Amino acid sequence: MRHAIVLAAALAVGCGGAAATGSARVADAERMQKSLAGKDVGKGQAFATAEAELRLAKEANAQGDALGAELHAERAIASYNHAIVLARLARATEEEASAREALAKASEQLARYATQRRAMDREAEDLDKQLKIAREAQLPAASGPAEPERERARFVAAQTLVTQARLLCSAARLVSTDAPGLAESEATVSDLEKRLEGDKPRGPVPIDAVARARAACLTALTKARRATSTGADATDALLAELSQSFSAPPAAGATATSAAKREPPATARDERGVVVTLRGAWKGEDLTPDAAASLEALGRVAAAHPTFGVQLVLHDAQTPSAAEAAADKKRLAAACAALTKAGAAAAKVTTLHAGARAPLVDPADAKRREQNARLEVVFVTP
Amino acid sequence: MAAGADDRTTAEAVLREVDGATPERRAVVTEMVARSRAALDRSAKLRASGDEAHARLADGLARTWAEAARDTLRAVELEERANAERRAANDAGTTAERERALLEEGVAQTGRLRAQIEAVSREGKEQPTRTSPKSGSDAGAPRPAPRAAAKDGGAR
Repeated sequence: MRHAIVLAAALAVGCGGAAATGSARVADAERMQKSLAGKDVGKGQAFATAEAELRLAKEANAQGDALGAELHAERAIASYNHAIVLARLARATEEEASAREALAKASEQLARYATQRRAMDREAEDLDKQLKIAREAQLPAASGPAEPERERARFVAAQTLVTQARLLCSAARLVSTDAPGLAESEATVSDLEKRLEGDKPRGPVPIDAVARARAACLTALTKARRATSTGADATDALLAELSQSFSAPPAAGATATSAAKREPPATARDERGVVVTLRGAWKGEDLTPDAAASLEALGRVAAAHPTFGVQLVLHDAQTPSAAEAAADKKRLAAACAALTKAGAAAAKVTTLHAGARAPLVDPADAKRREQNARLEVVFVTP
Repeated sequence: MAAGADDRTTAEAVLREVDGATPERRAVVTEMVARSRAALDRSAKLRASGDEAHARLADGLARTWAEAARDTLRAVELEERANAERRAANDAGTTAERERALLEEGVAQTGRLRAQIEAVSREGKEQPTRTSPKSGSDAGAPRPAPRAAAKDGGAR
């Protein structure tokens, strides 16, 4: 813009012949000289040249050399322009040097931080490994081979642990199907269940592996809850409602005798949530009236607390035969139907047949093993 | 004679240099270049008419306009470079700030890891090795309010 103004002044040539043109040009150069007074362009060679040319233009004009005056005056104007350009060039040089220095400084800082961060990342990686090693070191020592009798005891314990693992993983799935590590844990449990089928060990018992699988399922349940936890209030409210449900008058279909004897089912808490245990719930493959009434009440509680999943777990007094296992499946289906009929959401109810793999007393004890037979209704805490 | 010829030669060389610039940059100095070429034409005519003294003055004028054009291009180039470097410095500064934030996060993370390692080591020294896999954990379930134990009255 600055150049355009200067050039516009320089182009303002008069049309009164050579003498008039020379005088006009000298006047243009003088105007330009005045316009630059006090500006930062007057110290360089170009400005000195402009001043000298203007002087020569005036002299030539005075001597009647109109063409010489015009050429000197026009060179004075060109030199003033050059002085302006050189001042601009000097400023640009300084700015460029300053920007280059700023870039170098920022780049150096960036490189320093990046190097330090990479070192820090490596250190964090090393520390993470150290932490894993320290945690590994805290695990119990691996179980070595044992006497046959001890191996049989391990087999029974492993069956119980793998069943517990299955129940925990199932509970985790009811809380969140996307729980981290759940799918892997379930696959491990399935593999271990196959290895522990039958009633005696086939090779070394994977006692350490089942302990780890149980821990993994418990971890999956914990992680599932981290994302969905509704707090203690929901569990307390559910327990209060359970208590209220079983203090209500007996079901219309119950006999006078059974109604008089009917007491609330056992309620306890474990890692999964609130466990309600029903005993003597079956007559053949059908629910007894009391059990049906209890399940109806529990179904209503489940309907009132839709965030809780429900596990139905059937336990036998002793290891069931194939026919008994088939009957147990029908019993579980009947229990599930009773729950959902009372309002429990079918998608939130799951059934599991534990057989005699999680007994309360020794299944070989003919006098007491009946205690093992039970139906657990577990309200899985979200 | 020699000075005038030098001015003309120099002007022509500088104009060739200016012609080598990109069209965008050349557009900035169109007027200066035009005036330089006009002065060269005028010089040629004056010289042809035998007016060598004024021809040399015109050569000098052509050289001054040509050099002004060349230096304008240099200034424009430097200004563009300065702008680009300033932008690059800003970008690098932003990236450096991000790296610094990540570095601080890394420092905090290593601190946490060190504390965890220390806690695990201390726990290992203070507690005997567990012999039972049974866990007392409630798997993250919320703790209940204290209440009386439920009766086992459902058994038959």
